[in-house]
Amino acid sequence: MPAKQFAWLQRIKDVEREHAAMRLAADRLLQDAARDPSVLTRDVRMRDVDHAAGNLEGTYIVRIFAEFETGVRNYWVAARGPEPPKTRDLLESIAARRGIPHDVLAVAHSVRMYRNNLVHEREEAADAVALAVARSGLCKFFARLPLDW
Amino acid sequence: MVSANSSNNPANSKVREDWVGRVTTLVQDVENWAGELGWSTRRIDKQLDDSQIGSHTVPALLVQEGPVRVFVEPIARSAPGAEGVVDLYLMPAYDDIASLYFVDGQWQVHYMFPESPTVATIRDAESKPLTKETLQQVLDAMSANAG
Repeated sequence: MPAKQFAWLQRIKDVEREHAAMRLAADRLLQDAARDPSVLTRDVRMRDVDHAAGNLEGTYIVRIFAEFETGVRNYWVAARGPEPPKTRDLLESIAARRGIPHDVLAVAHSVRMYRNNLVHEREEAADAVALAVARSGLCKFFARLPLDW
Repeated sequence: MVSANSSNNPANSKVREDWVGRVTTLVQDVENWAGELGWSTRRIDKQLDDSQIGSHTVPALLVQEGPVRVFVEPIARSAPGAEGVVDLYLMPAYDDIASLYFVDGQWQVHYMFPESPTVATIRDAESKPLTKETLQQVLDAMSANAG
């Protein structure tokens, strides 16, 4: 049987898999370019590859939270109607309705705040969250939604 | 005109049929063994996209005993050295547990068995043929860690 919950969980996990592939590609390119700079073509410079590699996990934190948020909003619209609230309130409301434990909600918020910090360069610093920790926490939150809606 | 690489090409249709059949048989076996070991199971449809055989649906399997949930998820029809890849995850966190690779006509489970040397990735872990016994080893380890 199809199950929307699992479809969205897989999309969240797929982001982590993509990151692993890109990490391998970036590390390999850095090694190859260090040996032979001529491998860098199309006006790509070593500095650009360095920056890309350094920002890779943050880029995928933004991606993974985007998948999670889209899924949560998809559920909200089906269960509660159009115009879901802002993300912070959305997570709080769903947590209350679905009995999501406080520690699970807290991790989801920590990913949200770190994502906001990356995207909006907020003055208020947020603790960095490793991608694997983000994936685990967001999946634990999402798994508390119904199997289908 | 149907190209040689079209998913509707008869040769590719056969490839798809064989792959879906292989995964379905695997899921059936795991379902039966898990049931004999006292775990409940639930099938979940999974959509896969493949450059050769196109989009297709295969069964995935959720296996549960008490609070411990293991997801058996088909990943790919082929990989270097294998004719099928299926991963096992500990839910709800979606943590990687083990991988199954179809090699030489048999599913091999790659898992960091307690008696095996520690390695960096599951792919490098010791492999054993997938049987009811090796499945039980993996499931028992998940239960033990949860307890």
